[in-house]
Amino acid sequence: MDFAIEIEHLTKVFKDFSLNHVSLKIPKGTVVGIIGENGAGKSTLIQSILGIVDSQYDKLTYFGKDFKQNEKNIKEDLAVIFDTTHYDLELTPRWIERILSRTFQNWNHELYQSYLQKFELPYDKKIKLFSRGMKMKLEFAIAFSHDAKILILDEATSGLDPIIRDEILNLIRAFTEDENHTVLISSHITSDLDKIADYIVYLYKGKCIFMQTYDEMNENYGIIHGTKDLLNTLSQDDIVAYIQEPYSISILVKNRQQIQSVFQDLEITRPTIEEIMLFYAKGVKEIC
Amino acid sequence: MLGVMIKDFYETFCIKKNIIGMCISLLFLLTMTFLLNNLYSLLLIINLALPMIGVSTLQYSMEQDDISQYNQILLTFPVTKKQIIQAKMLSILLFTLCVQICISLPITFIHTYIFHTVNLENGFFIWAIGFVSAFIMNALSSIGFFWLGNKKGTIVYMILTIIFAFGYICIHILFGIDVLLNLKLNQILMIGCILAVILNIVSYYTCYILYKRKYA
Repeated sequence: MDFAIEIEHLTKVFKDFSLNHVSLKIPKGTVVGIIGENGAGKSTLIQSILGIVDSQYDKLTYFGKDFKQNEKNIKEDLAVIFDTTHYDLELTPRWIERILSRTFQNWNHELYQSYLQKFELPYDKKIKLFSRGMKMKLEFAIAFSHDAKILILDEATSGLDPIIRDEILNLIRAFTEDENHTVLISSHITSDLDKIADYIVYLYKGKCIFMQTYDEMNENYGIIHGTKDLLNTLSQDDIVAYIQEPYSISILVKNRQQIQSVFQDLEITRPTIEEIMLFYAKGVKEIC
Repeated sequence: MLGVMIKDFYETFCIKKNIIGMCISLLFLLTMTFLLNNLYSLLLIINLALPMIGVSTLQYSMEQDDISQYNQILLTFPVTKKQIIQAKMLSILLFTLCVQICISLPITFIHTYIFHTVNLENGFFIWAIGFVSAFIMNALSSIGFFWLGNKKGTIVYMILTIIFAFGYICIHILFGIDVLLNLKLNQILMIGCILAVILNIVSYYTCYILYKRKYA
């Protein structure tokens, strides 16, 4: 398998927080979602792999090229979109193009124009007069106009209304259709990832808890609502965590199909990414 | 690198409040030139006021960068931190050259040919010293801006202006302004040039280290 990004033991230490030995292999042509609660380290991870902040690692490569030695070349193939636009709001799309066409070697004027038309964005209007949705569409127009191979989104869909968010998700889906483009998206709107992610990376307090394919998660995880007796009946190895509800216990299991084959009458529901995240973050792991 | 410079110049010359600020400064200087047509005013404008303007591109762009947190996206572009500093320094240098050639030099000629405040030789020396002063001011102010950011950097910029102005007033009161022209101007210019080059090299590396530390 070809990997777009390979990270080994990435560590970033702040006074009050640290990202601990995160290792990830992001396959080429996939959409990888990073989930985790606020302060889990999603943005720090993204900033670290982009070199915005310095970090320590054993390996950081993009398409097999070492990041430190090829930073400038690698960044030609990257497009990054944050939760808010970081372009000066006094700029117009025309001036942004003037700046970026002298920054990216592969800047494509025709493509940029076509995206501006597609998104109905005016060429000479200051972006301070754009709505939030328009600003985000402009970010995508920019990202797609310099032939980026990897699109990195840091909470880019947060604060957008459902219609714009859906449009954005369609854009991301279309971007990865040819399997040469890779998307790394951090979001705490996990329902977005339910729609587009091929892989899910879960960060918790600066540690990578897991990286699994979405299909695997969908097939293997299950939620059982029951009593303490049921909890004690299940094998500890199958239980990820449980949450004590007012009148019952909700249990997240990782062998849904095997458990279902044993307990055929038991109702096991498929969890959403949000539910899995909640169990990992808030659930009790050790069973007394 | 060119992209960074285009953005900096856009913010200096195309944003309304910055254009207004520039125009007011220019009008003030021109008014001073025509109202106070003496050696004292020439030295004040050429060697103190105009050299302070060069760093405006850095100040205006830093102000806008702080508002939009532009560095966050800039650091994802294919430019190194070294190139970002080089571009910023080059923008200041280009702007300083423009100010010196398009404003400072004509004012010197006005004083030489219209007001007859100085002869051409001394006029050129004053202009050249103003040129050198501008580069010294740029080097010092840049460190202030990269070290303390836009707001506190502006305070450093103001303090430097006050120090220079105070020095100028002291010379005027203690020795009289004419004594400046009796000094060995060649030597002053030579020493000034060497100092400006050294300070700009030191400033470049210091700004680079400060920028790297800010995004470490």
